[in-house]
Amino acid sequence: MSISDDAEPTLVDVLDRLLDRGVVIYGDARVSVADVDLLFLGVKVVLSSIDTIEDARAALIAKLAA
Amino acid sequence: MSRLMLHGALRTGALVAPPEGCVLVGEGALTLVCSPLAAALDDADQAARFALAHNRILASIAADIDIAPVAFGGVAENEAEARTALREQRLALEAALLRIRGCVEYSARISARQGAGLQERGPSEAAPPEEAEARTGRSYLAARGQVRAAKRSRAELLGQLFEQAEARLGAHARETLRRPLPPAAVDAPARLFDIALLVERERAPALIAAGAEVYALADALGVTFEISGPWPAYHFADGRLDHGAAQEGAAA
Repeated sequence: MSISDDAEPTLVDVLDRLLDRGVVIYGDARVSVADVDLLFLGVKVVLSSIDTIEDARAALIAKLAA
Repeated sequence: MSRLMLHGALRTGALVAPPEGCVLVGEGALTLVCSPLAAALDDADQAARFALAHNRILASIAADIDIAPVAFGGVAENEAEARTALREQRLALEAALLRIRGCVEYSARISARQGAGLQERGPSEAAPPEEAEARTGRSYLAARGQVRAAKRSRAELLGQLFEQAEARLGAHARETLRRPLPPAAVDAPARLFDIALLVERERAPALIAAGAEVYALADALGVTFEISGPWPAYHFADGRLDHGAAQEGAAA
């Protein structure tokens, strides 16, 4: 059985978990990679569809893991 | 004061000193763990570094203290804005902390073996007969039927494995959540099963022991099983304003 509890997790594993997760708190950060806005937090508004997030997540993981 | 990247929220007083490079911004019963943000997150490499740092900071705290992750990319212009955010999102953050109280997150995955690709062929499954070997149409159809039956049987066995995995691991978790599977890739083992588990910290050893049982079942079917964690409670701290949880939190 493989269990990862000591080693630093990979970028792919981290991104796979933290993107589109967590409590949304307003701010004006824009995380934009591969010409896709992953999260735009403007005055308590999150502008993204589930499809967009999934597509962007896949693109981001592919790009950053390369 | 520079802009602040927001990592997570915890109960005021739960954390005596922030992780290196972080600051604590408190408002009433809640406190945000933040980092000074000098640059925008418009660059892929920058975003990657911040993502890793975000997880590292949260994980270092979540190992012992309940912390509700803030959505990655959350930013406050200054401490005053961070406090305003705490006031305005108090219910969502209280709900998140109530839900994850005493817990961390684990992940369990079952994947096809490296090289098996999408076919998920187990060690005992024979390769389908070559069509050229079939002498007659009848024998060809019979061979095809055997292949289909074998695939159905394997699919059923895998389905039973997934149910067993969720049941055995879920017995040690407060909540489980099946995660959607990523699209199949030609250069990576297919992910067949993926769940997130919200586990009380003291029950982690029992979860790992149950994982060993699932590993044996998965190995017998020729697939790979792995558990990772503890993670911050990413999948369970979404701040849903569950009516019951909100009332319970308000009464606490």
